[in-house]
Amino acid sequence: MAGGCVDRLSSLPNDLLRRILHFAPLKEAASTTALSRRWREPLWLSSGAVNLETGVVEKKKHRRQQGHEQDNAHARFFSGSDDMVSAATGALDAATVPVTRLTLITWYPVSDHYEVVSSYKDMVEVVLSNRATRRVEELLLTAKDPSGSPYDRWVFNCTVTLDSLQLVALRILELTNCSGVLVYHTEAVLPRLSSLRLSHCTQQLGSLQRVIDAAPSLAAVRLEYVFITHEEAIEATWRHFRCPATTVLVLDSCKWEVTIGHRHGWFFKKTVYRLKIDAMRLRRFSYKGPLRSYSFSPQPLEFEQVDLEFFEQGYRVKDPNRDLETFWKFTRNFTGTKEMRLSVNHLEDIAVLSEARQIELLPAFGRLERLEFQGAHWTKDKTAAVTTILNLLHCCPVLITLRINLTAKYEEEDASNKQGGHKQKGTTRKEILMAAMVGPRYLFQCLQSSLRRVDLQFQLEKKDCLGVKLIKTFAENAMFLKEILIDSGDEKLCEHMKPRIAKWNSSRKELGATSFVLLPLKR
Amino acid sequence: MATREAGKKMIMLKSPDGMEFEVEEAVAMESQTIRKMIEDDCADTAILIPNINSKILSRVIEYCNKHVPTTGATGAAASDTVAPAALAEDLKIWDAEFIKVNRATRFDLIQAASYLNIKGLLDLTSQTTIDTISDNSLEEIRSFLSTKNDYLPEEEQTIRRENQWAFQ
Repeated sequence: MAGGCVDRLSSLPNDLLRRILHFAPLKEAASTTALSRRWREPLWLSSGAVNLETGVVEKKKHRRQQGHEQDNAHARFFSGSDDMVSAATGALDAATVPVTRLTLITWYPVSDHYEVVSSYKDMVEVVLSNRATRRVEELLLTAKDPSGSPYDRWVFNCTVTLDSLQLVALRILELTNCSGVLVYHTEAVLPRLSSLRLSHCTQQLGSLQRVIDAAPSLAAVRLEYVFITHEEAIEATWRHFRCPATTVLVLDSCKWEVTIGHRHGWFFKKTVYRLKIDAMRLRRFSYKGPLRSYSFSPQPLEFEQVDLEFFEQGYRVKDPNRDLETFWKFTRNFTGTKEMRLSVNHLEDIAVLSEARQIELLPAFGRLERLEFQGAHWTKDKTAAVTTILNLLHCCPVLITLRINLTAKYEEEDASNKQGGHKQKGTTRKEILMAAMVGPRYLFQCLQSSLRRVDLQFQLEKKDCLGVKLIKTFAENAMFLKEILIDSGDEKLCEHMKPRIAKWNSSRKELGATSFVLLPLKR
Repeated sequence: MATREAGKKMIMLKSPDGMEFEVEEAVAMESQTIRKMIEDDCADTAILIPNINSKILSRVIEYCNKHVPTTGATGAAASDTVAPAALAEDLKIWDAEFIKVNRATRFDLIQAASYLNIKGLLDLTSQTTIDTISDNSLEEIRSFLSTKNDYLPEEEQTIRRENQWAFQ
């Protein structure tokens, strides 16, 4: 191996080694003193970090021999933890520079959740009660299941209470696989907290709101796979969520639920379908999850980027009309954004066919310059795909860059449903739409004045290829087009189309339009 | 100083082996060292980057290009704690690919990131270095790093006893 014979790590200056040890688990960091004389000085005490990992033995065990020596490993997990906890508090006491980063990770054995939960909770409490944690700027609490998948949502839940802590220096707070931060007192203050990230956590809305309220400079809120509950017995299934200072908000695969009480004394849980978000200063918003009625009130004015990915979650009766409305009303929140990424699983659900409905539903993205659109169509009929693209072109009068990624999902479906034999009709409608696409120049502002670049990802089909039709449409109608980049799975397509491009460009010249190039799109 | 594309300021970076890299000022300013030079007006012509060869410098520029705040229209979002959120996941994936380099290159990148003071790159390279050595015994780490143990056996015993928990 190149450089294998020289110990380059040891030759780095101490400052840089401290910087590297900032990320090292406590045990490894401390053991470096025994490497060689070069390492004699305990650099780990001045790395500014304490990264405690417990249950590491089990982590290795699981990798090597799953489920072996379970009991034995178990015993060591708990006895080892105590040593590590005192090592951590010792490190906090002995640190020669303020500890600004504190990480508490536990790798827990698969069984006996209860025991692990209480052990982890104790560890967190003991370590956090140390006075030296007052200087901590970055706090990361993570419980990891060595064999579990990250999508296994409710594997481990440990409550962490922040009430009694003096975390005045805290800037970054991240929790993974915990019941979240619990703040009961409204007088809690987190003056410097700027980033909050919860991942695979359960969290009560009231408590989450108190954390946010206590942090006047909280710029980023990221909730990933968070189960947000509301325990109060109330009727309404809409919620209000405030984050007035936040500029970046991520809601990824979260689930909101309320428990509704009944006068006969029993309770049932209901999903929150409507959410009102108050985040005036928001610039970036990212949402992944099922279609819901979310609204921003008041509407943030300075949106830069919006990322929306809709997919089904669990079972819900499909209502095409309602979905259509919900989708377009959702997007209406972002009419001020400059960039948008949009991903939908069923184009059929969002295509607005009738002109009357278009007037009623389609928003105007008056500032949108860059749109990435990803969608799948599930029938051989391309009406939905074509209509959606037309809808979007209609919505974006100043669009400069457009990326379209279309996936056809019907092939495998057709193959499995062969005996069913229900064929898709609608060829006539398709013809009409294709005709509409040939001459839409006068209908779409962006084609006339702004669109410069189009990226197309599609699957090449022998007949009536939608991707090729789109190339033609943009080639013939986008007056300021500079380039089309394509990824069709066939590398030679660009070569093949060269004569046609030349032809288009010469007729574009007559129209006074710019000439354009067709290039392969690199993934 | 050259300008290109709608008033984007360009900066010339030179490596000691004579290569020149023209980069946008915003990209170059991902490096706090270069930012300071620019702000102190010491960067009229090309900036010579000592000790970083063209191969490493081009990789560093690649990193900065990817991590420069995207929209750039407003400088307000240039805070170091808040990365562009929608891209955060993409960036992580990109970073993981970027850092798949051999050890020698990684050390070069650490030193470059340190000299140029690029926090993100320094974090990434440090974290990766730690990931490669953690979970190993001291002997394994020594052999992996080619560290020569120059302690006398009794000296090592004393050190191990100081923090016994770390060697269990």
